[in-house]
Amino acid sequence: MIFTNPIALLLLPLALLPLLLGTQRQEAYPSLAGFEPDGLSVAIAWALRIAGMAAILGLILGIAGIAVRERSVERFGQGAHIVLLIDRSASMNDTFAGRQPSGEEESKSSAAKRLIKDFIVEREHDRFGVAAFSTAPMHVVPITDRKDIVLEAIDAIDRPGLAFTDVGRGLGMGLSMIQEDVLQGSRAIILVSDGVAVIGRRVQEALRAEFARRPVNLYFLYLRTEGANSMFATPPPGAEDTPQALPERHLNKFFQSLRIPYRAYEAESAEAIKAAIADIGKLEQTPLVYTERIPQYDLSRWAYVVAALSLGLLLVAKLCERTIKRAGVIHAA
Amino acid sequence: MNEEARDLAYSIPWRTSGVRMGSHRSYMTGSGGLTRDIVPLTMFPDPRRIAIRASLSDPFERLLVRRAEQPSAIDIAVLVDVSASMAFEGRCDKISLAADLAHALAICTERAGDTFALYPFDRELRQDILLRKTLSRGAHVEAIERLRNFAPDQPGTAGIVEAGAAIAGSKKLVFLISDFLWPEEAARAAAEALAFHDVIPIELRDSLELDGLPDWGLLNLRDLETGRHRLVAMRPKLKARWRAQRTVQRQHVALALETASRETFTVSDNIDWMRLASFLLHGAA
Repeated sequence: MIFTNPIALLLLPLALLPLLLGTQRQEAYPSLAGFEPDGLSVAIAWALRIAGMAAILGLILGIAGIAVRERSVERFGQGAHIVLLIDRSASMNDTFAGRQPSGEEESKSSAAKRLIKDFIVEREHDRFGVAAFSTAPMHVVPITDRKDIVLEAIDAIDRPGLAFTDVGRGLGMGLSMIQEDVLQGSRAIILVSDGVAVIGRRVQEALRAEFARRPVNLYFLYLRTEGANSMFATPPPGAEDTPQALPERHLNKFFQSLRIPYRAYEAESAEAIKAAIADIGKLEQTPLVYTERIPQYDLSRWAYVVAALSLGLLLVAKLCERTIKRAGVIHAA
Repeated sequence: MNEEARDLAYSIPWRTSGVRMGSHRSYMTGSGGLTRDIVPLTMFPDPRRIAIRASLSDPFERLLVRRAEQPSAIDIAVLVDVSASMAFEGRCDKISLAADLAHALAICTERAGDTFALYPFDRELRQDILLRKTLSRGAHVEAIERLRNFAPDQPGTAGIVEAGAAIAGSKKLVFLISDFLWPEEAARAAAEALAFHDVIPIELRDSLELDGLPDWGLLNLRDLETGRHRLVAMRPKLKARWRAQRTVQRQHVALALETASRETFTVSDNIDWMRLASFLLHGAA
């Protein structure tokens, strides 16, 4: 319970006034000693006293700005802490056909955006972080349960991006975000990309060490442009099989060699992305302790409502007020 | 003060032992009109009043003399309740009714040669406005004016015991003027304090007290006696109950008082002087 204007609480003793003073006009009466108090009158008298106190109390608490303090409650649910690592390279703004989107066509990034947003909204208890990468990784949103921030961040990812795709440093960023997150729960990185570059040997070693230290579920959602190489396809014999020639295939192989739970999805269309995300959703269902933040709640409006109702009751009582009829009084001398 | 009030009179059904000449029957012998008894001349040596027939028929052949009664004066005390409840002004002003009654009685005493005393009381005897017994007409008028202008400010009726002490002594005719909205114990205490005297309770009743209550509605009543407030949700049923309770209370008080007094005379809103005179003279209205 907090007050935005606590000095008004100094007025609280005023709430005792109705115990001492009545709202009804007093009328002198010779003697009430012979009359038994009747239940209804006593009840009404107390109801009016209490209404008076409630009215004053409500107004004072309203002025004082009573509110319930922000709290966090620990809850149990199913889900995971997920870092969305999203490719921001320029090619993401193309369609799956590898063209600039026109008319009703949807770019890869906007399709991914739409589907990931659905995913985020659907997953009640998950916490999400967002990182983007192109030439350099960008820390967008740390792992948080504030869905609205995450959704805003996802909204922003289809802004036109830069040229290159540096997966290695992007993954490093994702891992460091997971490092910063201290809460318990299963952790996952969803890497969304449409084509990758080679990860340098030294970066590979660093990543290997990082992944070994902290087990993370890794999902690689590869948005394959029409005509691009598949990451699962084995090149025909005789063709060049180097990371430079087939970077996706070698990245996949690198991930498989990390000895962490890993899954790769190759999507050529929005439907395929959807299926992949649904699959990830099914996999990330470990029990999870999460804290729910209940924001500060302003009670002053309810205080005013109570005061208004009490004042209404007092007004009704005031309107019911009668006096001893003195019509036709003759003072006999 | 209307003319009828000046014709008020009272009589007493007992003999006084007062030595002062007045107009009431007494145990004293003197020069009044009524024959009291016949005694030997040696006992009452007044040869003017020799009773010839009685002397002749006396077997002891004594000279007998007639003795006459001496009408004596009595003391009148008017005890007025000036407790807070008397301040209620509905259809009448109780204090001014009490002052009217006291004034009429003062005129009576002046005519009959009795003394007049006024003892207003609330929880104590009001020394500031009381009048000890006196024959002075000026003092009577002054005391009655003081009473008329008095605004009751204290609750309680315990002062009646002090008033009883103040009028102790020979038997007096005591008028006890009050609204008698008393607890039964107070009435009993009053009866005990005044038991030796001839007490005439006069109840002042304001009919607005019960008639003026509305049939429906909320009333915040302040008890003039105790100063307490009571919020009352008045409804016809409760009004009827109050009427009944007030009647019962009056009966109890009257019963307690009348163990040591005459019947209570009730004044409702205004004084019917003829009825009061009839009540005071014949004991019934």
